[in-house]
Amino acid sequence: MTEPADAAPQADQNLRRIGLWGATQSGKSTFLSALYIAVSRSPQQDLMIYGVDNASTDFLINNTSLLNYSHIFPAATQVEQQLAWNVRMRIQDRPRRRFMSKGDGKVPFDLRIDLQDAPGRVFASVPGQEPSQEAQPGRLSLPGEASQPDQSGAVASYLADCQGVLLLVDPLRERETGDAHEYFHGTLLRMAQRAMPGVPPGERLGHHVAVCVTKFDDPDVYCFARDNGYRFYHTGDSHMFPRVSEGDAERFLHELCRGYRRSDIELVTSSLGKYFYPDRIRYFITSAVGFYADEDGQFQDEDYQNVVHQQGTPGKEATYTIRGAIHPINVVEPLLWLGESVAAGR
Amino acid sequence: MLEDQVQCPVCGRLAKPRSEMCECGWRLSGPLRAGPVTEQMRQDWETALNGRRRAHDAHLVARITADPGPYQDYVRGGRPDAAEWKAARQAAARDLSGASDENELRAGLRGLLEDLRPGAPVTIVEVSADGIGMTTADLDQFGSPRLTGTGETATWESILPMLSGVPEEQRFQLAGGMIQRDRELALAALDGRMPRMPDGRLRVVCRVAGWEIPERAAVIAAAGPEATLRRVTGTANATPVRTLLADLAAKAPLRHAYQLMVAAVTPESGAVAIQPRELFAPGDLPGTQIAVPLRRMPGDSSEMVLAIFADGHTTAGPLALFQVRPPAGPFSLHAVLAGPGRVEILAPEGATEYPGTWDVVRGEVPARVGTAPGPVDLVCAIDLSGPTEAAQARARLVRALVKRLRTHYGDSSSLRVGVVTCTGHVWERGKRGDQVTEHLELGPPSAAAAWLKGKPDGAACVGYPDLAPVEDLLHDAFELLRGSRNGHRAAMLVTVAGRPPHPWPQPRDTRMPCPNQYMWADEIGKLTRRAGARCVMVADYSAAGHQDAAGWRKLGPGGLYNLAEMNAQRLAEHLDLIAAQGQRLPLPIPDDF
Repeated sequence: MTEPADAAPQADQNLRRIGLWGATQSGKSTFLSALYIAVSRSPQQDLMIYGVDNASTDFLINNTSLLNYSHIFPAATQVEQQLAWNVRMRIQDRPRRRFMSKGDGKVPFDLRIDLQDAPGRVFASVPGQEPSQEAQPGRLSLPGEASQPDQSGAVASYLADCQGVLLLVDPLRERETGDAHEYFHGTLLRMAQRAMPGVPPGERLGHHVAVCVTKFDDPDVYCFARDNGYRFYHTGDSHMFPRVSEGDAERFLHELCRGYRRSDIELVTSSLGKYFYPDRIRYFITSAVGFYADEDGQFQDEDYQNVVHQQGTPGKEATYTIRGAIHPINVVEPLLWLGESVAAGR
Repeated sequence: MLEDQVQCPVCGRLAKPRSEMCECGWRLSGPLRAGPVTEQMRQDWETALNGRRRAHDAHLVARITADPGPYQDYVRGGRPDAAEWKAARQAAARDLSGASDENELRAGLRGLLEDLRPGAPVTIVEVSADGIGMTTADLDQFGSPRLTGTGETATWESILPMLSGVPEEQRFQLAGGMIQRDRELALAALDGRMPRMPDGRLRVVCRVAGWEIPERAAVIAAAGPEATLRRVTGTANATPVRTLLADLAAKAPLRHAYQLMVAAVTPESGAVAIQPRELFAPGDLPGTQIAVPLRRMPGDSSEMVLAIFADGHTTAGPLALFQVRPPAGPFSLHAVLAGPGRVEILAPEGATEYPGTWDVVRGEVPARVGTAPGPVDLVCAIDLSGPTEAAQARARLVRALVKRLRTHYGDSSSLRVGVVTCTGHVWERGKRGDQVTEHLELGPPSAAAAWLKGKPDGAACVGYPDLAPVEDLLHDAFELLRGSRNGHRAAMLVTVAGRPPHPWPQPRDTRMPCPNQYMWADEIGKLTRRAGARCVMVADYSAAGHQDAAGWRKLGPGGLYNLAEMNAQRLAEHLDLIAAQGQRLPLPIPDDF
């Protein structure tokens, strides 16, 4: 039976779910807005994303247009209803499904991301005591969070029910406020409260966690990677955009935040290692809009900033516009990894 | 007269009676012949004597004048006919053998003036129909020929009192029309009553060649060891040599250049040196007019002194000192060479003789001035991006500055002004690399003023709000000024901006790098070191963003000023393009770079 197109997305126990977890301004909105572009640019032929209803599709259309056509970041919109997208991919077949494969050893696989536009402060350890941050319209949170004063329990329940989690860490916010842990440990503890009773002693939460360190394109983050030898280039990348390998990503995050006096990022990563299986945690250094490519389509180390940051003046807020084409970095890769991992049940 | 001598009835000379022929050709006595003297014979002799006398006297008259009118009465034996006059003139012409004509006389006198050397005067002795006159020619302290009369002409009456007081008769006598006794008296008087010839070089001119007494006097005058004699064909009414000399001296070409003292200011140091600038060259003739481009010290409105010297004779002091108050800005000095040692100022009008001395003027010339009056290349770089009001204020300042400079410099080449303006960089797709600057090549201030007049106040494109393309301004400014040093022109840049430049390459913060990849520090380095430019910054601090004064100072190592506290006069003074109040330079500045 087919769902009506404008109906709210219904829970489907067979779908593998990915939860999005991150503090205010950690880049959740932009990450998802760039997802369509990232999927489109991905060399994965069978990768696609689509909304499960009109509102979700409109969200994808509108925000993609904002990024790619209007060159601005998602505006201060507030979506009252739940949004959900399916990410369809082909993953490596497990032995028991091998008979279904087309011959390349891969089988179709769908992931579902359920989201709702709402302040991200629901992730705060003590909801309502978010330090100095106003509610940020247009910031994405999870189903059930809405704008109620205390939705943290529902969020934790939702995340506990997911098979995978996308944890977004904004290093710039960590530099300025150092509150990643403040937005992390309360939700983690509530997840544990709900899920750990069903976990045998000696075992850990079974979620796959993709830790996405956002805003790699920011000069502060990129220069750290450049200056400390973290950069590498995909030989198949005609733009020669720099990246940080997944193997170096966790150490990169640690070393980057070590220079931030306010950061407690090690509390986040060590807690992740205690509550989740380390081999189910992977770090990605990501950028939703990517680097600027010059007129020849090449990355230039001297002129790579793709976000034009115009400082605010008294009475006028700072603005951010997008300078060139959007080339997301490590936006699809966490989803592919989650898909492979969730499907494999590892 | 000896008793055995007879006087020739024709020429009046004495001859021995046994002489059959006088030196004038008259037969004094013939062979004896028989018979009485008949009336016919007496008439024949009378006729022959008259004819001989007419020929003799006509010959003398022909020496004096080609028009015998006033002298007809002195011709004995009746009036000569045309043939006899012709013969008389031919005989007079034979007396002039070896004599110079008028042109040769002038050439000789001209050569005499040209050959004058300092401290070696020459006395010209003129023996004329009026008497004997002397003129001394030498060089004055400026090297100009100078004529000095050595007393009045000694008239023939004063030398030879026996001569007639009637002018025509006296000239007839001087030409040779006297009897032997008077001749002897005259020659004797010449020896005793001739004016004393001065020592040194003498140039004796017998202005009436062929005249018996003047020729003799000239020979006596030229007897000295350093004397020469020139005989000149002339008449009684010929122009006196002294007049000819005065005329030639007045029209003589300059022997030495005449120079105007000007103030040369070293652009880099402001050191002032007094230097001569040629007004008239050697060889220039009286009547020559010149026009010299000059100007006063920009901003100095006091009177100016025009001091003219003769080249090589500066120790003698100025040839002339004038005071004048020319208009602001450049002006042309028009002067005419009125004659040796005489210069007249035609423009600027109102030039009068300076009452002071050259020492006073020289004492008023400062050793150094803060103003670099040129040659200067100035580039005004204006940031027209950002809020319109601020951009308007910046444009207004530069417009006023250029207008003021135009007043003081005019369109002379001593100051060339270039302009660079910019709008903001735009980071939109398809806009990268767009030209954000416009410029006007270096040229006269009026061109810059006109160009600025056509520029709209404020930019259509505000651009990046935190930074401005100052680095692009600097880059274009360097391109305009890069040749100034080789052209021996001081280079200046005044940048009027409201926001700091874009960096290059991408810094560690989020400031956008210059799309044209200009490094402002490199551009400043090129301007200051390669172009040798003095870079002055006028910043509107209120819009200066996060950069403090230290940052702005790097953009204006030659001076940093606040737009709100600046006006055109002060900026021009700070740029040392206009003299500050109280600074005076009494001499003109050359304006022909």
